[in-house]
Amino acid sequence: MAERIFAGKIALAGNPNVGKSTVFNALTHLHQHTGNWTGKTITCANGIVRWNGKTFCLVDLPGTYALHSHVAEEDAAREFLQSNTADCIIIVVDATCLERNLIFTLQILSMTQRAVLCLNLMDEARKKSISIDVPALEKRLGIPVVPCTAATGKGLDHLMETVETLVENNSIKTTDQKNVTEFPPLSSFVHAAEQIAVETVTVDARIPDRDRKIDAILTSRRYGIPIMLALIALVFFLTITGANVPSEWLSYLLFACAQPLNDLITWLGAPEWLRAMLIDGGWNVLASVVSVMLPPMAIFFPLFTCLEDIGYLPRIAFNLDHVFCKARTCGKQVLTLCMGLGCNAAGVVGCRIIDSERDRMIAILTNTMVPCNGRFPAIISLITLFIVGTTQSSAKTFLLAAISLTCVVIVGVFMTLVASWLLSKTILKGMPSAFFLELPPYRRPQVGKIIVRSLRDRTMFVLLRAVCVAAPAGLLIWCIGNIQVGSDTLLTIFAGALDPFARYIGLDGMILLAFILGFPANEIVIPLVLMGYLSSGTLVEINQLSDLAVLLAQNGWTSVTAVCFILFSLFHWPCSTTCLTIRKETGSTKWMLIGMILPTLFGVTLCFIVHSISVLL
Amino acid sequence: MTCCKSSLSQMPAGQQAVIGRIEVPETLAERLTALGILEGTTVKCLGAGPLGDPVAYEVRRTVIALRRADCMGIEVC
Repeated sequence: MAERIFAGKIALAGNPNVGKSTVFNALTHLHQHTGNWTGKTITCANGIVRWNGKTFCLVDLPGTYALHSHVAEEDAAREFLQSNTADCIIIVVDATCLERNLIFTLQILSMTQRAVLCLNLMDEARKKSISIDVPALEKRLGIPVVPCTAATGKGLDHLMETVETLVENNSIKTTDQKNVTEFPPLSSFVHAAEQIAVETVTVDARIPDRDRKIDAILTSRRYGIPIMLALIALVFFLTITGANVPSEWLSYLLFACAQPLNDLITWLGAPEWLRAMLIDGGWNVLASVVSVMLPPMAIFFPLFTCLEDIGYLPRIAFNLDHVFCKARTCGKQVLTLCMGLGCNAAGVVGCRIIDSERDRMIAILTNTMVPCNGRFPAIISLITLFIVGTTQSSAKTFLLAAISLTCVVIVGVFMTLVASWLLSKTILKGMPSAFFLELPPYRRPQVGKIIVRSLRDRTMFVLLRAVCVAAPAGLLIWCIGNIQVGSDTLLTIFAGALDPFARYIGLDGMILLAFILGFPANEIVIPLVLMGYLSSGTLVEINQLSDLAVLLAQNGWTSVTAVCFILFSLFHWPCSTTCLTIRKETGSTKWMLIGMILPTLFGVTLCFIVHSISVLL
Repeated sequence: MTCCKSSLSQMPAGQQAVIGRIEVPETLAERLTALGILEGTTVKCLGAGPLGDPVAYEVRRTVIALRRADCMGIEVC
């Protein structure tokens, strides 16, 4: 994009978790993911703001605590500010803890005065009876100060007016930028900030702090961990319960479309093999992936985002840090594991919040050991069928399934700890670096926005994956299921070749083949297994869990097979997207391969143990 | 006020104190300064997590959690 079409370039800077992304989204009408924890924005995002007939380019810098530190993303922020390309910097600060935010503000102001202070979260400050003398603050800082509440959009018009004036007055770039090498010591900024805060902020100390009361329960010795597990189980319970009926409807609807599509293709004069390939292969896998994936994702994500917005995720990290410390790694790994529950590729990128190179590497390599959303539906079905042992949809079934799923996640987290410990004892030797974690204030989640955003974004995500990955994979498996070599199809030959090994780890050749073919996306593993079992190599309509139970039992599945499947699903090579992300984040193919081999070794070993025990018993 | 020196890591929950000398690795000291934790800063210990570590401290109206091992070298009065 040519620079000159913009009336100006604006940068958003500030401490982590002060609502920069919320300001960014509100100004650009973009939908960057926001969350209530430090380090949510880890890459610079660019957007366009239209204001008063003009177009501005807006850059959202990652949140930083200081400008001369040793962390990669803080370098990015400093380099951007030093490069002198911004016409105006909006410094976003949290009005509820202005003093700490001023430390960073003053550092920016020592480099440039072309800035506006956006005093965000004014509503929260008011609730906490914190009042700020805005004119006095403007006078002390020498830049305009605009109070606002980005979540509701209040004050943002005034912010843009101020920015516009500033950009116009600065159309000829001044050289007021100073080099960072002549930075005074960091402590001088702290003292200056303290002084300004004393002069401008008044707090009514009589109001008790609500957050401390909540923390006293949520992070207490007695209730901290039980509440955490209960909350996770509740999220799973709501997901499983809520997804059940819509999944059936979607399945019914999409499979009902197969007949008219068949007729259409025949009417167009296509040969029978092409029709079979497109409908029996591509369409059916697509339909089963969409119907199985979409409802749980559309429910899990908003629920999880609510927990995130409230500010609960850092509390999980706080509660669990000690075990991660024992495994010689960083407690912030918990945050990346939580992101991994949604999508492992996102979790791997999220590892950037970890400062130390060694700790970050460990977090990246072990992230896939928590099940992502792509693996949940298969795990849930198998748990319901083989562990809860029923096909009835009742609240009790769902509750048992949710508890079992929580246990599966606990197994995943436990193995993550084991793997982290092993890595830190072998190829990534060293002690964990110093750990600090900010526990943000609790905030009311923007429920409406979350639901709308999650539904739209997740629906698009699932549909895109289904079209780009599931349908082609369906076509491929239809082909190898129908190409005859001698008396057998390619599918039976491949599955047969894998079978002897697969039997050792409690699976069978078809399952292992499905995992291999499921490399592009884990969500297609179960549809591929089913397609493989049905001799014709096409997926018949499986609307109900009971149909699935019958088919799996016919192919020799027992509860041991189900347990091994779940374990192997937890611990095997990451999907292709995650692998590429690992390579990008670590900058080496070697680490990507280790990231693939490590979980696979765990999976094979665990499945072998489970299978051997079951044989001995 | 009598000044009895002890370590930040030993502070009982609910107590308020002023930071004294900070003897920790330089990168951590720099980090702490950026968070507004340096000599002379008032901190309040909010208590440890469910597993006894880390410990949450209130500093300048923000809450920061630190591992006991990391704040051994931070003196409080």
